[in-house]
Amino acid sequence: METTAKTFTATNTELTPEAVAWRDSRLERIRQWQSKNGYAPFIDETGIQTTLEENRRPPREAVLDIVEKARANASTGEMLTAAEVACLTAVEDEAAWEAIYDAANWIKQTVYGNRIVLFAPLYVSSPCVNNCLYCGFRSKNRAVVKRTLGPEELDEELRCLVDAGHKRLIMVYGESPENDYRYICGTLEAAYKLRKGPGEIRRANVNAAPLFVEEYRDVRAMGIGTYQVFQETYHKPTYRRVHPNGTLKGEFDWRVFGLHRAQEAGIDDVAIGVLFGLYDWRFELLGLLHHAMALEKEFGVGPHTISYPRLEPAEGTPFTTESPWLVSDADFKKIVAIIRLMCPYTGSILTARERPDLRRDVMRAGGVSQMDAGSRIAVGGYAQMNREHQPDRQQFLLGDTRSLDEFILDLCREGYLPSFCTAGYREGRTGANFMPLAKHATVKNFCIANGVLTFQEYLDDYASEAVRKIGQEKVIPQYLAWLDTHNPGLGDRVRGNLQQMFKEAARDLHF
Amino acid sequence: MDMPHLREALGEECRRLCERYGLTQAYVVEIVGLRRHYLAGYGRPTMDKPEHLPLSEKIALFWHGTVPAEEQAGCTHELQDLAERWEKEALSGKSKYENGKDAQ
Repeated sequence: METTAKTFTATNTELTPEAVAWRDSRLERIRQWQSKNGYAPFIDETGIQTTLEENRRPPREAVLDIVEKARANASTGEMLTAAEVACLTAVEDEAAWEAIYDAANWIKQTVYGNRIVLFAPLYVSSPCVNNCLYCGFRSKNRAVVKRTLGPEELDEELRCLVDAGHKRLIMVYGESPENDYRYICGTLEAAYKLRKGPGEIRRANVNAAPLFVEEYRDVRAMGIGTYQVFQETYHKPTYRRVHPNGTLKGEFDWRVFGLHRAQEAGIDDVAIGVLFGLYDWRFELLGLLHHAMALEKEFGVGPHTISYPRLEPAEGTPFTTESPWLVSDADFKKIVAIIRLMCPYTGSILTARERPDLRRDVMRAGGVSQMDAGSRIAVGGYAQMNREHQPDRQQFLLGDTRSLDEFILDLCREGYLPSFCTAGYREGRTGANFMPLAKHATVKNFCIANGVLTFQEYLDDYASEAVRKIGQEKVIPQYLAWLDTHNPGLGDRVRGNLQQMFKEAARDLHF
Repeated sequence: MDMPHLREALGEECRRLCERYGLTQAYVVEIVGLRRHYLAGYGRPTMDKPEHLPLSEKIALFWHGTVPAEEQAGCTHELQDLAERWEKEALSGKSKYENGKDAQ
């Protein structure tokens, strides 16, 4: 890592010559890769449109059959077919939607149990040579200040997160010479090194531009959790319109096979996503499905998680409010539920882009498994901002600004188990070893046991009095009882670990 | 990173261990920072915390069940050889993807 903080590789709206040279050289290499790419395309626009058209008016009975099939798939890991997903997108009957929401919640409970895994986004570096119409960090947006954290600033951010109780991060980077894979590696190393009292980062996921295989290998060597590359839109004409030609992100195939290359490099926990609001959400759902199927077909491992951010207003970015495909709250809820039904084994991430009331509704009706809380999305935002937005440093505007502790209190009141579990990837439950656990709905035993242990850590080390009270009196006993019922003997073993935590101040006990 | 022949051999050795000692699962991981990256294995995990044994600098064996301590070194010779080959061929050498998909 560089020893001092940098400012953007551009002045005003113009990229510096260094940034232009880096971009152009990289673009040439990307196009060379695309010219040799041997992977079979998996996005057939005409085919997707036809599938949607052919399933525009599904009979109610057919919809309910699909819902039942999705429930059955929770124990096999099978995904729905494209035609079945298309049918779900066309449902108009309110009663049928209630059946879908019930099933989404049931599938989530069946696979993962009633826990919500908590994480924090950490925006590390925002300079970007791309110029995506919807993004506040685009190179030509003068309204948002771009920043790259230096070591001291990064350390300060990490300490804020650890002090709040976080154990799991998604570290977010723009795409520029300032934040290339070497910078990513340096910042990951810093995150994993930090120790502060009982606090540490135990899992760092990455959200960054797609890389070359050899670059992925270096990032992999840092011991990352998941690598996220969101396609944003699977609709090529829209993709080309919002990602200008001549930018790195303008290359559709480079991005859509980005996680194939990650798998080649040995990164077997990969995450896909769409920025809903760029194009028809029905089309995008089928794009996600085909992407998941392509990864399974090629590597035997589907996406570890699926994310579904919605286009949100951003400073100096009028496209975010003018797109004709903006998704309503009602449709957003449908999207999340359909994702749960179509791909039952995958983690489902609902972010703080959304408002608290909507998050409460969607997390249950959509079968959500992971959420962020106490989030700040300005680079350097955790250290510099307490509760106020910093719209001139953010990629977009947040909907839920509750603190982690406030959010956890709400989870407890709603009966969820807040979890900081990061055990799976540290015990070799990754890739092909994780998938059977999720596909056969047995991973919930690990999830609940490790959820209880990590929540107890939070109660002991970070919680407010209100959270400690409800956690100790209601949540922990509730989930120990769940373990007693669902996995006899396991509850007592977790109680043994809790005793060890109490008597010896032991931490990071996990299954 | 993909070495199908070595993965297969590692998985076969894990199967042999499971059958010999009645293990519910044995699997081989690469140690990558905090991550224990699954390479190959046999069986299904239980809720016991797995036992583990280093096979080489970067490769370790995990298992659910009991392998007598006095037999652990003796029964993993083959796995140790395979682990060393993995380190040489997969971690420091070129994979089939090194020059792109068309290099296969």
